[in-house]
Amino acid sequence: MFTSWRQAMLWLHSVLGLGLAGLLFVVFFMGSLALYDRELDRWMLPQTRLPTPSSQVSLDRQVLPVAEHLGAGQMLEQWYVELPSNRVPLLRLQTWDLQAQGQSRFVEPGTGRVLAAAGSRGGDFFYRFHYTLHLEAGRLGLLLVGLASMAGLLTIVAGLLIHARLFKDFFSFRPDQALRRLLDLHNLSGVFALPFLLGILLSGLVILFPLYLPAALLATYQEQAGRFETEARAAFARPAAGQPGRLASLDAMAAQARSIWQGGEPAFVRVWHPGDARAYVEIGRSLADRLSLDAETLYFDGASGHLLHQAILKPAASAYSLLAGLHVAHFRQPLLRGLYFLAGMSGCLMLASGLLYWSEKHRARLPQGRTALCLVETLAAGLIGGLPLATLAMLVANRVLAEAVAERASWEVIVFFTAWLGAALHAAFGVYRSAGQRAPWRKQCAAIALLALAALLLNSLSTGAHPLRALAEGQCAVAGVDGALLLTALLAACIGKRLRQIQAPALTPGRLEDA
Amino acid sequence: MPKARKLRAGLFSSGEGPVTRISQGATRSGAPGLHWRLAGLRKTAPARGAYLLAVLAGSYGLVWTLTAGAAVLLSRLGLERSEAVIASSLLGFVLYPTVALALFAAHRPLRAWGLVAGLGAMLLLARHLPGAN
Repeated sequence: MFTSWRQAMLWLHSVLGLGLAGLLFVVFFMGSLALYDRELDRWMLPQTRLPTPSSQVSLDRQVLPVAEHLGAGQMLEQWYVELPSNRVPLLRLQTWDLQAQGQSRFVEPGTGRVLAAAGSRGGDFFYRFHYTLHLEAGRLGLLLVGLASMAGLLTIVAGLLIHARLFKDFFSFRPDQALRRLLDLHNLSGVFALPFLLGILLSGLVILFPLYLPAALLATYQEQAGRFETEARAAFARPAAGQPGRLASLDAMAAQARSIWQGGEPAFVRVWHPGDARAYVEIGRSLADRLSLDAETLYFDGASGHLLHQAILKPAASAYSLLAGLHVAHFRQPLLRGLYFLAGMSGCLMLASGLLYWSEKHRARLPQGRTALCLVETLAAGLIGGLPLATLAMLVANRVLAEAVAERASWEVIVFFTAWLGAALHAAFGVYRSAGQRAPWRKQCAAIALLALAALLLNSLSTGAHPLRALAEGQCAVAGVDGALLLTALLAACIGKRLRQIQAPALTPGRLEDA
Repeated sequence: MPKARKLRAGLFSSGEGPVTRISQGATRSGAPGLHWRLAGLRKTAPARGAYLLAVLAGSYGLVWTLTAGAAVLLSRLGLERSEAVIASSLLGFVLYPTVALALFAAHRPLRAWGLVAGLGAMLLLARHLPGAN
């Protein structure tokens, strides 16, 4: 079938890479944005731009009354509160009734004021998009992401095996030759973030292994698959008594937790069967100072406050928590988070340059393969230009839509997909109209630059918080997002200007140089 | 030198012997023979694509069986069920790319597939022996 194993790997790399580059680009782009989901929350939800509380939050005085007020008149299965951190200056309170109907509210820690329901999904949209692709029905998005991730692993390993001269190729960059420039960029960006790319793909698959590879679970637990999670997490559970009971001091339980954790801070508190005689309280440790997702959860008796159970993970479960923690990046270190972001963007660059290299290589063979070239060029433009464009359009809509608009959060999502579709159609039109089947890159760069500037200005006009003022007020998250918008605008403008300077070769007289 | 070149050309090819005028499949009438036509078909994109899909599916099937077998074996050896599930699943994700790439680039695909099928059958048989679960 192939004349050598290297040819086999090259074919595999090309086919899988081309086939799934689109999906992987979306996953990596959204995943990179999701690293700053909390910062995007501050930007997109101006009512949450509050200073970090200077003192510890009292669960008994500041949280319990609000939880009881929110759950008044309902039989609750549980209520859950996420405590403030340096990235989230608010309490997030969630309640679930016995029919699993939930509600979620932000609460101002100092005053206990319940903020109005958020009119935006904030950074959570990008976080969920990166692993569900907004395709919830039948877990289709999850399955596609899993397929793309495994194909990505195969593609990267095949790509490594192709390059016998790995280090020589890594240090090669020939900017004077267009085709070689793209291939060198592809190699450079891939090798630069290689450990990250392999680790993030593998850990992403491992997190959802019960969905992607449930063989072991089905073989060992058979009809008791629901018990796996409880056993793996070393969790505690007990049913309600059906009789009323009072809740002991949550602050005392939190103090006991700090003592057991030797200085660790609580991140969340969950009260199961509130108001029942057999209520129990789950307190999890903050993950800001660790890579693993192991929250060393403690379970207290609700009525007496005595410690019932401490979740201590076994070795394999600890390894799983570490891998999952490496992926979801809950740690606090801003430099490490920044490196993750750069590596994620490097992954996007690797995928984009791979698509563009394929396009340029096949453009030389025109008129053969015109349809395939048009499709790939449209896909490339729809992703490389379209996805950032759609993201920026969503941020602009976030600042433009009035607070009183019904289903405001849904309207932002509609704007996102409309902008993306519009960019893709514009790209398709440009590609088919252009003599060399080239995408309208300059126009898309211009649109990105304009939208980024618009989002920055609208934030300043609508909230009064321009970047310098945000910094002065200690709103580093808002200043950071504004700074990123400014950088995006500058980068897009520079790329657009550079593209204008590059003369496309005129193959015949009178042919258009660009769409 | 010509002999070595022919031997290299034989690796990863359709398994034909040294190329001679007769083995190229030229019939007495001069038309290309069936063997030569089949060799050409194997190199087409649809054939390679179909083989890739078969490799991806077959590798998944083998890793599925391996993972299930490993989990059952580990739990029978005394490891807690949840630990056995997590350990064998992690192993499965590491094995899958290895198996898929090895199968795809195998020098002798028939032998490789035979190994895969045999291993899978043995594991399935072992799991269904009395007292296996």
